[in-house]
Amino acid sequence: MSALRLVHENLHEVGVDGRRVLLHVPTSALFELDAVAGAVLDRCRQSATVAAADLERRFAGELDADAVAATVQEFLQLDLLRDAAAITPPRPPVTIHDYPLSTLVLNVDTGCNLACHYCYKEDLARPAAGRRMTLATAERGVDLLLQQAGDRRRVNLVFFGGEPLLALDLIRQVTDYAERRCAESGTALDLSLTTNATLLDDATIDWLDAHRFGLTVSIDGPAAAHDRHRRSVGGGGTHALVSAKARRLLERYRARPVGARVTLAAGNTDVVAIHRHLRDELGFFEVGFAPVTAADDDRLRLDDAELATVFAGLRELADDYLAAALADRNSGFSNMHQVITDLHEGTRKVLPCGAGLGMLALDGGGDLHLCHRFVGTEMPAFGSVEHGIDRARLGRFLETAAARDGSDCATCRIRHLCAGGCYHEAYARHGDPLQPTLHYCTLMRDWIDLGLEVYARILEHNPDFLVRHVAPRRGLS
Amino acid sequence: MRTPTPRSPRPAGARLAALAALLLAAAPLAAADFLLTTTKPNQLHLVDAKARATVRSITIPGPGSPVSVAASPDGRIAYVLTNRLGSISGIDLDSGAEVFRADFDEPGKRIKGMFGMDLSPDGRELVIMQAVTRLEQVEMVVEAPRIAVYRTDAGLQAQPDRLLPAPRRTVLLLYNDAGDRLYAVSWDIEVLDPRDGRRIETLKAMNWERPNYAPPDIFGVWGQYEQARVFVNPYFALRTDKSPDDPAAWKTGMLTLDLNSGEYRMDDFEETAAIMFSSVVNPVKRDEAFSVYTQLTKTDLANDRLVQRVDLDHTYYTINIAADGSEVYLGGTMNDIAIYATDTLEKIGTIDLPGDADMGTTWVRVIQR
Amino acid sequence: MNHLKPLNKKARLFEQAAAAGRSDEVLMMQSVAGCTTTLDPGWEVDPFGGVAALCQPMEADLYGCSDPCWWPAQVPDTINTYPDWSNGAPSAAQDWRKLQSVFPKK
Repeated sequence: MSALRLVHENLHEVGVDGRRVLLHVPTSALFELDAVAGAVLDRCRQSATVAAADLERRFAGELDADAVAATVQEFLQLDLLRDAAAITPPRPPVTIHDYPLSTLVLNVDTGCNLACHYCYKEDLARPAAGRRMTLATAERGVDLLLQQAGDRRRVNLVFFGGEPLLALDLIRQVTDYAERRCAESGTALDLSLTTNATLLDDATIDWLDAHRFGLTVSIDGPAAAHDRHRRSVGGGGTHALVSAKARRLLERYRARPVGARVTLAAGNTDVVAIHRHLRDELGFFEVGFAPVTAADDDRLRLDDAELATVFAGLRELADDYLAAALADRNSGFSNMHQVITDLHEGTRKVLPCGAGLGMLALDGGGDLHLCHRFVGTEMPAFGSVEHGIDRARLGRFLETAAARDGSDCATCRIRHLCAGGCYHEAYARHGDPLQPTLHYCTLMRDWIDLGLEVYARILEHNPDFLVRHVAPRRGLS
Repeated sequence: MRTPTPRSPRPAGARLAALAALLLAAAPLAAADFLLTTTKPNQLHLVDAKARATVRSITIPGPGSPVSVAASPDGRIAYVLTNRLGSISGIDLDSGAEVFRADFDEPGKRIKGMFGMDLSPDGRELVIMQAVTRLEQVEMVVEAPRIAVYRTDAGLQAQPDRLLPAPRRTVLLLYNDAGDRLYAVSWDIEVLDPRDGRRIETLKAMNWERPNYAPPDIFGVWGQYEQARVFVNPYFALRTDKSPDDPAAWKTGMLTLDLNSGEYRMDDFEETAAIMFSSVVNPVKRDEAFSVYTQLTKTDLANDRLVQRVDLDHTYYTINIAADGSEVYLGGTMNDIAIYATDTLEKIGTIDLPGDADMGTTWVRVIQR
Repeated sequence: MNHLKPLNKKARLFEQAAAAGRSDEVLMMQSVAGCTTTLDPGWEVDPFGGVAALCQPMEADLYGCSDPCWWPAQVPDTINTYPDWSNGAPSAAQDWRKLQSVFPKK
């Protein structure tokens, strides 16, 4: 081939402390460019195409000719350079045939004893009016999970609501049933629960501990931040109660680390302070932040200025995370920890999450949804425990989600780390779960760049951190 | 007891009456040789050897490409590896019904039978060598191979009674006469305990320690050892102390494993002059071995020498032999079974199998009925 | 990879793939993932360097070698992907004209 062209959409470079780090977009492999590779890349960037002979000439006397040739070969191998005359055949579409379930989310109760302003649950109800799942439905859900799990050695059961602890009796019974069925089939069972913590008492804590639940507490930070939006049904703040319960939980709970989940809505942007309170003052193992899911005109939405403040704060937390990592500690900032895990593993996503693929949510009526967020929405269900998973529709949905060619995502440098973003976020913002979350694109790209910097620095100065704190945790895909 | 040619399944009473009538008519009492083999796509044939006639052709249920064939000790049930190496079908030769079926695939796993298949001497158990591939979303993962042991009474949805760890690249499994040893022919011949797969001993083959010899090339995927109860297979070896251009550098030998005594030998007998795919030992003259490919070769195992070699009409893969040692049956590849006299290596007959269909790599077994 | 230093696990997979002299066991012979994974040459040329010692005639060898996935990629994979390729052509010598090429499914 005489002329070569750079395949821009397959590479992304960041500079970290004078080093040139390359993200190989198609695979999420990370490389460091040496002087030769850097020089060749720079030269290829200067014009639309470059002739192989030109490269040799350009570097004659400066760089070893064999090294240049070898670099060109490596770039060709990685599809960073291509024959300029070659027509690239279209990629075959992703087809999804098998998606053995590994996770089922049970929406055990749509009732909640809180009335947080920003709750996205469209079907939320007062506790007395909540729809409680029947044991029969839950058991059939467990049966479906085990049946669909194929030969996976481990399945996950997640309890969600409303406030799931309103249905603690049901949770106990379902746990009992699931543990029995899993023991019969020799499958390991992982249980999780997200709660507002208000209904925890010692007996409950001890029971959850005994069954090794993975727990997440929804809490928004110190009193002022938390009480801004997390209100009781009567309208009062809940921080005093929730923080007291959280302390008690963190004192007693031994089975697994407990995480805090923060929703950032209008007025709550001081992530550094929030993290300090939750991690250092209350003692959560890690804190994860999510901007509120809200429609465009929702007054709870973080406006552009607030988003900028939030991301500046996340940057600070990232710096703290890096400093802690270099001192061989995990600062408990789950957002960054997840990115580091994905970069370390080289996670390559074709779909943004496991919804529909390895995970489904079951509502009280026995219907199956993509995930817990879609329960109670108008989005049609994808089957039921009675009739089974609607594979045809679900497959079409997922295949459409996976087909990013021709969309804005097709050439984005983080397309295999973001893969279009949360379906529900898109649904809430744009009315269409299959539209990529374009409102977050720039922020996400910056965020990944930040992750690349942090990762490269950890690799350079304390790679053991990755072995001790990152490797044991599997990435989401 | 020679049975009448079955045209359709008869109830037991009628069959006994027919037998009684034959007895009164002084039918011969000795059991006769029947050949058991298959053709594409999924036909099982029972052939009266001396009559040179196919007496029964049965369709093996399901997709075909049958390969390995083994029979119950009483000659009533034929077990065939079929369904593109994915299943074993056990067919009652009298009724034509399928009485045993093992489909290997498990959820998420593609499992193929890698030829080696045998029945225990008491007919109670059936072993098959299995290669396992786990099918993940974007990759296939090679898993450990194994020997699956089935009970022959396990019916039509048979599951393995137990799985034994198996040496990789095992292509033949052979029980010894006592039934307490299972030979797994791999790079070497591993001697296993069929109860739990425990390795008792290794009979070195490819890893032989012969000075001045490279590892031998041993190719054998056919089971045809039932008449003499000796497994015999050609091997080809290169002498490293000679130049490869020197014809004397290339040796052909015979590997023999006596399934009764356990005696095991590998002895060269000629400078390589012809390719041979498979062999059989004469049950009546146990120092005689016959090998086949595009020639039919007769060798003297006691003196390690070539006795005679003749060209054949076409290539055959397999060879089996009559109980009285008088003739050999050449099969595999195309549609005919060629019959040669063992004393003169003259062609004395042909059996064209029904259906004009190829035998391919199938085995040709001899059973007594 | 000489000029691109692998940083994460994914990148190291490239290195491993490119490195010569892998010490991994060759597992392909025992994984019938597709006929092209069977590594048995010796169809084009016999061990003596000629063609006289190949199966005679060639048709005698066609199904014997292709059905159990013995041959390399000259024929469709009849174990996994194209199990019906030889339907209606049970005798290679007589029916070889009926054998068709195969094309990837859309």
